[in-house]
Amino acid sequence: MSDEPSQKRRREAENSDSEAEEENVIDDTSIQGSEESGEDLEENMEADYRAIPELDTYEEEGIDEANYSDMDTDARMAAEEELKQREMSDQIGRGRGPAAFYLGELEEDMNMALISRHRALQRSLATGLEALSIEDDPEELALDFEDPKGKLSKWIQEPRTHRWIRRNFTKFLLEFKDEHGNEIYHQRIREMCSDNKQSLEINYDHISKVNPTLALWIADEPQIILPLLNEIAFEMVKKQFQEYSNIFEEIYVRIRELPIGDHLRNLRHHHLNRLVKVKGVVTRRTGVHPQLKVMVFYCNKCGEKKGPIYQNSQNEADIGICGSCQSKGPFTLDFESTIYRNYQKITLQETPGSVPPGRVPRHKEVILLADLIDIARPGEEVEVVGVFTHVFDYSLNVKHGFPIFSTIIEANSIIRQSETSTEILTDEDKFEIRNLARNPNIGKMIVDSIAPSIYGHKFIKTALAISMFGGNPKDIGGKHKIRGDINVLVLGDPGVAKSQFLKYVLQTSPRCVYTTGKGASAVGLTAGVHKDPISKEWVLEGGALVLADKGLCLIDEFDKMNDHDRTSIHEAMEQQTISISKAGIVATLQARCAVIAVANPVKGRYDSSRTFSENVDLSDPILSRFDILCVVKDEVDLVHDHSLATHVINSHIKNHPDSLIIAEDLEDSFLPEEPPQTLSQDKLKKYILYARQYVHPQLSDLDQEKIVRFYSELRQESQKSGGIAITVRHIESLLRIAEANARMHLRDHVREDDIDIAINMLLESFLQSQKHAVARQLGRRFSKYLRRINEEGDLLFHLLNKLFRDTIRMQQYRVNIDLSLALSMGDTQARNVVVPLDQFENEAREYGIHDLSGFISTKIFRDNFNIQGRQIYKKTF
Amino acid sequence: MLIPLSQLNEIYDEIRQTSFSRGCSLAILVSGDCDALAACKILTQMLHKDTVQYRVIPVANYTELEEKLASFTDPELRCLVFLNCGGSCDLTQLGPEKNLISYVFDSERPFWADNIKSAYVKLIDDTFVEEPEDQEEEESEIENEPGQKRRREGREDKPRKRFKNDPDPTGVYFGISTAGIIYRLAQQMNRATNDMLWMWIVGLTDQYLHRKIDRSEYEQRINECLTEVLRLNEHPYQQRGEEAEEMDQDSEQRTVNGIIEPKDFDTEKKTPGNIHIEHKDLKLMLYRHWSLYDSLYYSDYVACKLGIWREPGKRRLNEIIAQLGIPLQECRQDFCFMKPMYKKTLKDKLQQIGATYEIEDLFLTTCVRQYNRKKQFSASDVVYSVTALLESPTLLGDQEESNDREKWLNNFWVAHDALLDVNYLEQGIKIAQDQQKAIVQQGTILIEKKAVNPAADFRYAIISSDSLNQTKYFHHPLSLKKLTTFIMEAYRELRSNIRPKPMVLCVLNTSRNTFLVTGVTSAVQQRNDFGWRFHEAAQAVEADFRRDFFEDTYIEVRKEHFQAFLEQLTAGAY
Repeated sequence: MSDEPSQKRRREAENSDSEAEEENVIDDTSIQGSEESGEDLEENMEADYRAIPELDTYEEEGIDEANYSDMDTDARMAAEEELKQREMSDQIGRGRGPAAFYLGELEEDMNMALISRHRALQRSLATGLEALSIEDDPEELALDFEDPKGKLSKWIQEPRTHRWIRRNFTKFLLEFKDEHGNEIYHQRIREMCSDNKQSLEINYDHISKVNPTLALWIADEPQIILPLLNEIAFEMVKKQFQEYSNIFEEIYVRIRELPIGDHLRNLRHHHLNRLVKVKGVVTRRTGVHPQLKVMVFYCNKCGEKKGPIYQNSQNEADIGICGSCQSKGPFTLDFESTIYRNYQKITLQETPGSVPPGRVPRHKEVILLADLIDIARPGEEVEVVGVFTHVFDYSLNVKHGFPIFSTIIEANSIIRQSETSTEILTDEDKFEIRNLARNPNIGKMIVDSIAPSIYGHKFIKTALAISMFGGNPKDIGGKHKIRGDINVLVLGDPGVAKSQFLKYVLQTSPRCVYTTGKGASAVGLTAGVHKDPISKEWVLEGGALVLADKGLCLIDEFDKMNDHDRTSIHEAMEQQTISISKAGIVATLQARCAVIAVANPVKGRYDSSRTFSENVDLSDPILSRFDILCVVKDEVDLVHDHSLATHVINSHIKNHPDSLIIAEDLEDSFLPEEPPQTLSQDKLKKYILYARQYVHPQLSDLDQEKIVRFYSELRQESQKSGGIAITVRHIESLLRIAEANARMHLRDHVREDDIDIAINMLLESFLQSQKHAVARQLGRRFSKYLRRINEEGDLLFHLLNKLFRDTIRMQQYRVNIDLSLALSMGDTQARNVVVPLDQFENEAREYGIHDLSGFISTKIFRDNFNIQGRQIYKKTF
Repeated sequence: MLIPLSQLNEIYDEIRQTSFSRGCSLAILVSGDCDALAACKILTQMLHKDTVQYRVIPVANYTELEEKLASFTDPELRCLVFLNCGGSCDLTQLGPEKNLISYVFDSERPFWADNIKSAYVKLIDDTFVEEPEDQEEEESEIENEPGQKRRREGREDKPRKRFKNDPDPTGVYFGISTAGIIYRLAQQMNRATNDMLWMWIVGLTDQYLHRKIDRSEYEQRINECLTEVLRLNEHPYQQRGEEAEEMDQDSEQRTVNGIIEPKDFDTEKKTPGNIHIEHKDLKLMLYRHWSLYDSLYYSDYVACKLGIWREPGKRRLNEIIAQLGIPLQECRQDFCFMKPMYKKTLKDKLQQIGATYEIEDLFLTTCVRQYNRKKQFSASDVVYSVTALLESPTLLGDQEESNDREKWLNNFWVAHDALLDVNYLEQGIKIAQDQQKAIVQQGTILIEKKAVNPAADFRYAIISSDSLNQTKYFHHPLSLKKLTTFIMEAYRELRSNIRPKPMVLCVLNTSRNTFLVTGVTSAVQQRNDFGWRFHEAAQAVEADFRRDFFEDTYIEVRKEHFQAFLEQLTAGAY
């Protein structure tokens, strides 16, 4: 079945002319046959093509591909002939039954038909698999499903078309592989089930690639076809997860990535009842109401129950007359046996950017059902895929005097713009990410990947990376929360690409809100209460920090903000909440976001000869809330400026849209080091997403003494030298940074070197805030905390030598050579002595050194040792 | 001398006889494990009925035992009963010196050689079959265990400095549970009750859960219990099948009306105190008193099989729950509040999907007891709870005591009472849950940090700080053993292509300034010779050490000497 079209094509090529004739003949005979048997057969035919789940699946399973493709054309034709005939005779046989039997008892008749058909199938199974394997074929040959006869909606509702859809959609779900050969729908079903969700996301692209007809039909007749797809998908789910029906009664197919998007203002009558994709901002959403799904009524006159009646959005349920007393009602709803579903309306407004100049944005109501409820909040930009449909609106008719309709969109799937497609991590992504994390250099790679177009500024890049990963929030006894987010303040001279950094972060971080100091008011940053024009009620409206909950809030031009506004974010930055008590609303909103702020020094330029507080016009309370302070000084340095200039020029040439020059051709020789390994932005985004979602590093046995000592010393110095004040917050910062660094490496536990890096960061941030002269002196003082690669190298070199000595000695003991003799032989022995790299790594770990790659690349190592595979050899001279 | 099981009632008579016309002539020394407690419970119940005066003396370790024995000055004291202790230490001096007869019920093997010879020490041995004449007894012993005997003879003339010294190099193994022996005694005297039977089952389950006996042995012995269960309990379901079905329908009816009365937990039909058999009970830890999710998550077996400490493992767990057709929310609430429709089919479904997720070994025959009208506890629940109470790091009850010894005593009595008391049992179950969480967490930390190091024929790991809150659990031997087992099982799954290795775990106790070390063998049948190896290593480096616990797989080494000890231990293995 898999290569159906190609086979068809092949067959056509083989007997191009006779084929068509043959088909005609078959068709003719079948028609003749039905004519012979009389009228009642026609009725019966319908029953034959009714959707029969058991039988359909049976057919699917019974198909034997190998046999099918191996058979030569003649044999196949013969088999087809035979089958046709058998089916016909079967029909005729049934047709001969008494006509009265069929009348009035249509249902029973259908059942009978089912049974006999089932028997026929069983018989054919007995006669041989070959016959069965092409059981489907004649139908498909006889009827070209892809060419609807009559109106499409009618055509689709026909049972045999149903079966065709069922077969093809099942095949699609079962067999679709993406470009990497992953069976993504198996995977999605598994994920959906393990997360206890109800939405199976289907990419429209995928369907249209495999089965364009089906894709077209979905777009054109979604209201008929989507429930069918839901049903089919649920069957598929039940095959993998047999008991999923216990958890949910149905699942929903959500169509994603519809290729054509429409504007809200361009929706016209020809879009009616089609699948459309629109973008907009949610401006309002209603509460959640129960909507009737299955109704049961009872007749007020005789008490007879009537139902279940299924209600869908297109037509109102028709109750009709009572089955037992034939009265027309009144009927009363039986509340107990009625099934409801959730129903919510949101108002979607055109995004301000897409409105043509000078026009008023339009809006449209969107209906959300089932698990789509509350998927988007007012203020969020969303992309809705749904059915554009019309409803009868009484008030409109009264107004206009003639029947017109109001239109709404019934949402099928909603994607928030803040969570783009990268929010979904496939198994493959995860695998790749975990693989990446195995690289010991991943930390450096990530730092290098932050704004690669900006040259240098390693410290800021590291700070941003750490802030993006974030530490672990802690909740002590459910009462006292300690934030895990890392706030960063970048303070620098004009023109050092500060805002560029922010823009990069904005695009990379999974959830991010960007504001500027002047453009944001206190209310806009935190939260405000305002009167809703429609409902005339006071409503809360979250500001930037609230919207950035669980993400980052970027504030540009932090110093330009007025003091009043700035103080309003104090609470948000430490307590991570925003409390409001205005207009009778007392509420606390969550604002668990990291703040990355960018500011200019007081007089435009940072003056190293003055203290930090003289340079910045920010109060102590707010400064201490920042975990990392980065001071960027625009210093004149000939070599550095030269390479920077080259970098900028090159990047301008490279990135010009019409550029023909290949990147490698450019002369990059001014850059001192080779271009660093980086991750692409998309990959980095996924990496961050993964890390934030799945990695929660724990602080277990760490060198408490070291941190305590460091803190107390730092605090002492800060008192003396008048940089930023060091407060208890900074210990917390230190742990947070360590956690973030562990998270960056996807480690579940904070290691010694994470702490070292955190100390480095903090120290650096402290030193930068000092006067130039003081910073130097302090730097010397604290140098013991800065771990140097050299020290590590010496230690490792010593360790490796010791390992070699031990190994040699052990060999000597083993061969029982006299010790003195052995010592003289030492050199010759040493030639064959090997130390496995693993052993070396193990030993090094005891000294808290986890990464040996740095040492292995040093000169001292290369001069003395050789490395082959996982073995280390000693060089002899 | 060794006493076969057939002479149990004679022993009991002896004890009773000696107590006539005396004051308190009997002291029962009980070690701190669930089996001993259960045995104690049976024995005291019988003595109580016979109006025999007795004292129960809990002993935690050898030092304590030695102190206690030395402190016996009461002239009226004639008999000592040892429950799960004493078998492997020297009791021969007690007879001649103080005129005391010792009756030893100890499941740990081998026995101390001299004890077997002494007429004052009576060791009850299930494998021992009495020979016609007493003289041949020793020979038969030799025949039974010739290898061990020879070694013992060679050691004969060594000066014995310590109360308990050289362990047996062949390693420790375990015989029939002590509670089982005592129950046998009650049975022989025709005085077995349901309470006693329950204690037997608990004792047996304790042995299985703490890896003292393996699966097949457990199965074999539980079958003996089952016949007794059938004898002593009425089983409405088995006798009146049709009625039972009707009752089921009744209960369903009731559920519809909003009263939740699950079929399996049908309290109406089971009188308090009744024991019933669960032929295929889930081996999930404490699932009756936990949420199903937690129970799956923290059960050693499932956690190790799925690799629960990693993201894919958690995903697989979620998948399994989806396969079971239980909504996550439902699964996260207490098992007893889970909807009956899910509970009813749970076992069948688990069995169905077990194969696909490679968790087939989920079922175990066990017994469940109706404690009162509301509460049911399975034998394993009781064992977990009682062991947790015994080793609880926090003080139970309302007494305010300070030192370790008093705390332990207090916990001991709470655990003792808990065997038949619902309130204490529930308290214990809470602690057991916390303890199990700590085990999985700590195990995860060790595995994730790659703190488990390989040695030649075992792996070892060191917990060298007790800054973490959970470390306090592992200063107790049984919890430490559980953690060790967990890590070993986890490694067995992680490195499934390599032969499983035994596991050694060392934990620092800062308040005592010592390392507690234990070893676990990779298979239950395998004799655990770590006691001997620890001993040899510690002696070789002249470390300051203590081997005080009754189960001979632990050693306590002073912190300063630990590094040398460890090096010796790992080097000795090469």
